[in-house]
Amino acid sequence: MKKLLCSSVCICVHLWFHFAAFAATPQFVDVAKEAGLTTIQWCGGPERNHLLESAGQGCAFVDYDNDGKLDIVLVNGWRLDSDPDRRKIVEKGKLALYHNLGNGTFENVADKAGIADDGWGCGVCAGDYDNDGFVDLYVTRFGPNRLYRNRGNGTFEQVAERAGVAHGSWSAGCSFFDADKDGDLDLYVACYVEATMEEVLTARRTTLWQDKLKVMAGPFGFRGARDKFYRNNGDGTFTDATKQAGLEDDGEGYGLGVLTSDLDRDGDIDIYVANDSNPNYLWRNNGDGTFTEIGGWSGAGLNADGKAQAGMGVDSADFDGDAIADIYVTNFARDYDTLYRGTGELYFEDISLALGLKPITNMPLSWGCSFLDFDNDADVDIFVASGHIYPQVDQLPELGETYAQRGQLMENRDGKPIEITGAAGPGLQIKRSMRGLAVGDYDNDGDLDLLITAIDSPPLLLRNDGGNAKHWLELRLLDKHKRDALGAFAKITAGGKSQQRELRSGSTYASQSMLRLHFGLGDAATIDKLEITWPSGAKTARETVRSNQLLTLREGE
Amino acid sequence: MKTALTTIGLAAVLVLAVAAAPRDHAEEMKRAKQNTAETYEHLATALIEMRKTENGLVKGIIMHNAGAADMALAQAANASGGDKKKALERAAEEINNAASEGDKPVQAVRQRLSKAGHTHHTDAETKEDYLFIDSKEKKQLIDLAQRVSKMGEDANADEINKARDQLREIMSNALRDE
Repeated sequence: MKKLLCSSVCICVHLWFHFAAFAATPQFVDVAKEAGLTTIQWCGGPERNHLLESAGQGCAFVDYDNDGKLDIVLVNGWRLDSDPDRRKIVEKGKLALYHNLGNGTFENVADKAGIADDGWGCGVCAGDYDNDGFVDLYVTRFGPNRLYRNRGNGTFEQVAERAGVAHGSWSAGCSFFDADKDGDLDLYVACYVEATMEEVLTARRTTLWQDKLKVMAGPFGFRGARDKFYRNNGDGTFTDATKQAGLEDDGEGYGLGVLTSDLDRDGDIDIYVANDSNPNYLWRNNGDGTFTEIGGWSGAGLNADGKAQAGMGVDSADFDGDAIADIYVTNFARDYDTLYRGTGELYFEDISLALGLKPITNMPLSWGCSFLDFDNDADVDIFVASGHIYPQVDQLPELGETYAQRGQLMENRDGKPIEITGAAGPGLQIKRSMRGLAVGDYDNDGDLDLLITAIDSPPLLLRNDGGNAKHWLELRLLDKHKRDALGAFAKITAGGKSQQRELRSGSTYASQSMLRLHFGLGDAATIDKLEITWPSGAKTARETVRSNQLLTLREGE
Repeated sequence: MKTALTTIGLAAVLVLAVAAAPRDHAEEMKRAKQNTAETYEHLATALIEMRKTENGLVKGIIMHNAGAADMALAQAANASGGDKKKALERAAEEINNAASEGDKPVQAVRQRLSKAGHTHHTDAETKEDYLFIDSKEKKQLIDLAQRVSKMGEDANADEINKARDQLREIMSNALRDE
């Protein structure tokens, strides 16, 4: 009897701890439908005969009207039929701009805003290239890209041709950044494969996957499209300065994800490109407006075995708390995602296997990725959006692969990523063939929500419920032009712990996260010290800043 | 009468044609068979020669990369300050190129010749992507490239010469006839 009682107590205690832990985990809930996000993002025909139909589209959290609420951009593609001889276009999806109404719902105002483009879109990045205080959008496409200048009155003007950035190749990720520290934003565009729409419409599946299934061909076998770099002339136009800046993509890498970041904290912005199936690029900024590609020997171009992986998305943050930037890259199915630990001076080591990333990430085919502190416990965790490119894998369950997949949430536990997807709410149990990912606090409640795009599907808007149980701080950083200060660094000390974040355009996969910096603070109700290093090199310091607020700081004030 | 003669004439031509057809067809088939084999023989010879040419070309590329790396290391050993650092980075880049059997423009060409599909990780030691450098040698070269790039301005000549020796050893193993 005594023994039985003892066992019962033990079980109860165990269950209590289990449920307590479960209850403490923030829950992600998909609220896209009730929020009014109904746009289906089309991406080709059901068989996916061509690579273009595999790439999906990106998304963005941006505050285009400066009303303090994050709006949503959804890039769109085309819907094709199944005609085996020559597919026909069933529908041309339109780019959507959802205005945040502030009550948990959104209204698609793309037509009114003059942004409802119906080309085959791929990705989006944001930045105020004309320094007028309103964020502009660059949309990559299969074909000429689009630059939407924000007029500041709720409408946009398409100026890509006039501005000299209407690049014709199939482009994916992009990023605005000030490459030469001249006070205006330049632009890097990753380009994927050279192809024509005729090839897309008449493509046949000729590659054997796992020696069993006929699937689309590529990217090997195709000519890679060359990445582009545009230097801002300061008058609303850009010059293709790819060659002058030493950024010539001689390797014709199959470029997808772009990260622009001062990875070595030497005061200028470097570029990292996740290339599909060939080595990733790390372009070191030489400090004089030129770059040198050092991916090969920096340790960040290949995995620990010296092999190229199939890079898709990319993000960077200080994951292990050593004040040096680390890089996360998502890769293809049957290959692990790579966490490159920064060791300083632009050297990196692939520590994925040591951290146990292989069992978590080896089978999913991963795309958008982001470091984020989803539970406000004062460290950065990782979220990855996944989905296969071959719908045919569903025909053979024995492969253990599915076209629709769950995303993966990995909590940072003492510098080790532990997957907690199953415990983090119903929204994370949804399976889709996911692609783009943007992170932002759309409901301004102090925790980070997820916007995820998926093939032939409306997006997922995963609201974070309970992530704000701990303290937080969000920063909006505006430079002298009153524009979002891309490249600014914020360092905070709270509760005896230091953290840093960098404000960036682009990253993840073909998507744009919010242009605010979010810090989880754990139990610290006050930030002891806050220091901003502006892109100009100027610094702003504050002491004893209260938590749980969105704080806007302007350079020079 | 004229019509009858014409009809007879046409019939005769037809009969002759029908009678001759099987013989011509058989001969044509025989000739085609011979031609096919001969053409395939030419193609095989060309393919074998092309493969040999590709082998020779790639070997030349690797030797050029390794030679350039060695030269840059030699320059680094005799240089100082920023010049030494630049020479070491140049060497690292060339070692990296040797590891990939060619620089980026060469890799861009090669990826068009690769079997269609994506890269997947494999733990196995493999040579499938390259003609001479296997995955073990590639890893050795990449590690060496990183070590060389990290040497910096303070590197001494002994240290640099050791890297040169290691490079020669790896290349010698990789390019040895199998």
